[in-house]
Amino acid sequence: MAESLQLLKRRIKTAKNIAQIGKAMEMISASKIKRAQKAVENNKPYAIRITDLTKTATEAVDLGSFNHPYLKTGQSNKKIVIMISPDRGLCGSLNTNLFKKVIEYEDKDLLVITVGKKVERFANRIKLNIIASFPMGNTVPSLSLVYQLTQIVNPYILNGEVSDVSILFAEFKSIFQQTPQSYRLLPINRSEIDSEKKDLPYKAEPSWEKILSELLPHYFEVRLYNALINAYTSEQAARMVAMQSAKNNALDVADFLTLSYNKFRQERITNELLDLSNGRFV
Amino acid sequence: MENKSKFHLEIVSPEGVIFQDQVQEAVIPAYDGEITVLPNHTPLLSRLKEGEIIIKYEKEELLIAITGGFLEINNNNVYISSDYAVKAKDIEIAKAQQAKKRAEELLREKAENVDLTLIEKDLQRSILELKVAEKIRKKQRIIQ
Repeated sequence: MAESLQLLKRRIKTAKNIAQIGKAMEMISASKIKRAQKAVENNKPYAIRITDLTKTATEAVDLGSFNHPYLKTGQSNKKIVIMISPDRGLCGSLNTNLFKKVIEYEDKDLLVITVGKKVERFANRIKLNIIASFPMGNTVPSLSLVYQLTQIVNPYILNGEVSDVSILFAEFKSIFQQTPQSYRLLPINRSEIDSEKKDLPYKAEPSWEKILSELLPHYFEVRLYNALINAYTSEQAARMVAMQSAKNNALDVADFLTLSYNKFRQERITNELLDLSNGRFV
Repeated sequence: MENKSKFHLEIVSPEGVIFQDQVQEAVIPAYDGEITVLPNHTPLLSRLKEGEIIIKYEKEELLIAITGGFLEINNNNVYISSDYAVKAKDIEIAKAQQAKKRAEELLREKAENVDLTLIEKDLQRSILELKVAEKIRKKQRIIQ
């Protein structure tokens, strides 16, 4: 009897500890979401400017005759996929949902770049051809990660080995919803940046074609960085929600255990009292 | 009159809007030489190289270091978009020096899994930051 009381007490303590850890992690994620959203906000003016400039440049350049490795559709079957996942678990079904998408990529001509330890391990297990892997990190992904990624991707693009680059990540829809999303980064969709031909009031230096070919890598980087921040926000949101429910569940368990502990204790006291009163008449 | 002697200058980088104000004059490192932009400049779109932008406004001078980017001048609005732009004031010399040292060390070691081009970029950047920051220091000393 005494033992089981002790046991219950210990279990209550455990549940409460878990709840406390859950609460702490929830709060950490909540503050990280705020920072990530700030990063998105800060990045926005630049992203808009680059997109606008690219569109302006295409007003003067005839895309049909313009040649750039980023626009070319090659003959090769090889593809590069950049997969982004968190480094750690404890973020609900986010990783599982991502992996379901990863399984769909069973292709021998596939070259995979992983960002995040979770997807790296998984891709390794299903024997995908990983050419580079990066950690995701605990803070908002920095721009240098984008440069590192482009350093890996560019040689493949420039020598024409690969022309198709896509990205897979969990898109942040809301705090409660993050869905795995994949889209193509390269070749850049001509219709996406093409615009009506006009006579621009600008003078271009050195020439429109040169400016455009400088702009396209920036355009690529902007879209890549956007996906990275987005994936990071998703991770934090998923973790926050998962930790919130973990905390609530742990508190529920603690409540239930406290109730049985009290019942047990009451029972024991009643029994002891009965023993005492019975003993008096003997 | 106020409007005619000034123009709008905006410098954006992926980290946010670095500068946004009405200014009188700006010296910008364009692709083939520095250009000085004054109000009512002809519309222009240009590539920039790395260097420093010198902004004159309110009798003050402000230096901003950039590593390349694009310049758009249209209707007295000047937009500069750069990968990396930082105000000279914000550059902590010590920090830049440290980064330079670290990058140099890494270069020397030539560690296998470290990408050399990236380190070189880092080194270039910290050298640029140092240059601009020291320029400011000199100027302050003269004033004192």
